Amino acid sequence: MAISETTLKDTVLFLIDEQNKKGGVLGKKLEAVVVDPASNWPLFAEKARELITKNKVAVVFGLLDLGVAQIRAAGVQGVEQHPVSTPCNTRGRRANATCSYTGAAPNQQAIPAVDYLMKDEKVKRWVLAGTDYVYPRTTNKILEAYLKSKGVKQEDIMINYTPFGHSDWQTIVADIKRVRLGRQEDRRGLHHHGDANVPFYKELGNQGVKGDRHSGCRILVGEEELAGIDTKPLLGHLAAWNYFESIKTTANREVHQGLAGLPKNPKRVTNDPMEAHVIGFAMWVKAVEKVKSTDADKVIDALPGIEAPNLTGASPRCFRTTTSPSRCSLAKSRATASSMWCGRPRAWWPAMHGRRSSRAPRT
Amino acid sequence: MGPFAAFHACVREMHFMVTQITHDIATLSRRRWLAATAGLVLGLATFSTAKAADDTIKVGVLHSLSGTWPSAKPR
Repeated sequence: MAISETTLKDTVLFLIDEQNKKGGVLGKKLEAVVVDPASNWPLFAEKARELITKNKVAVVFGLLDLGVAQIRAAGVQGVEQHPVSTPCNTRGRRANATCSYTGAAPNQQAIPAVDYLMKDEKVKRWVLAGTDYVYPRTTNKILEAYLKSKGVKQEDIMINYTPFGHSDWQTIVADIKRVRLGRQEDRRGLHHHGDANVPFYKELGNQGVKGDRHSGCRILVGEEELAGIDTKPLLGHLAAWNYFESIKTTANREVHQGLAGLPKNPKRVTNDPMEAHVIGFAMWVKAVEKVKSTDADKVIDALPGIEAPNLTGASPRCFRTTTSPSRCSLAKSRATASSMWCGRPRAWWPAMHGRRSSRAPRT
Repeated sequence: MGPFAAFHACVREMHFMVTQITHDIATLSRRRWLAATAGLVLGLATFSTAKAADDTIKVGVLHSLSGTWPSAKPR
């Protein structure tokens, strides 16, 4: 977590610095208070408490979907009444009025990717794989229901989970290859999440699974993971996320250059959660300026409906989660992926709860 | 003791008393001045700290900068 979250911390510091160069917010400079929960769930709650009660921060940027759940479960006083903006993917099934989830929910990423694979890649058999924690399990549950609603049979869906830190990828990749050998005429999609992207990609390369014959599609994989591995065996594999560094817009170029200019890592790549922070930060600034106050209640009330431009030309709106278009990309050499397709968010809940449902049920 | 000696003794006593009173007043004034100065400095420091705090908006950044994936995860 530290590898990816350090860049997210740097992103917030960069955004604060840029905002201060413009005069700050409401005529006041922004001052960052950085704490380190050290990838430790209970420590997330303790550090959140420290920020809110001791440091009296106006807003918290950070956490994961699970981190928010953890600090809520720990009963951190003030969190329920405090603006929190988290840049990571969310299951989209838990509403919290004070928390802006600026990462994708399954309907903004996984389902559009499935639609693309079904329609354009003619995928018929599916492997839904993931690290064994709540986000992949919830996403795969939604995808399984969605696939069945599209007429895919149970025997054409393989589901597999691996524990955190799993290292034996030979068996799993062999199983996936066996699925292919069993039905030569079919192509299939594959989704993978969690901490397993890098070793999984490596094993695909080791076993000669080529992107052009495999039609695999990863979600939650971006430039940062690709930067750490030899991408040559991965050419042609697909990835779905809301942002890729290679998308050519002025805003993307400016932020990328700004972050790459940080002294700690001049070769830094930008990725989806970093863009999510850009969106969340801009939304909070807009909300504060709208109510002319940093008062938590006023800002929380002002946030829904506020739009902020992302780095790729769209303008997500703050609701329960932001609504970003999904993108599917083709892995390329060097740590980048080229955007080849862009889809609209799709509702998943009719597949699980019936066509009459007009909104996502709470869980 | 002659009349002159008694007079001189009386003058010395008066001088001592005046000196003591003056010293006491000076000491009191110095204490008051020191106290007032300290109060002023403290007040200014508090004011400037409060003003500095009032001039900034604190933004919390809660990201893991150490550690790997958590071994015990919530379900």
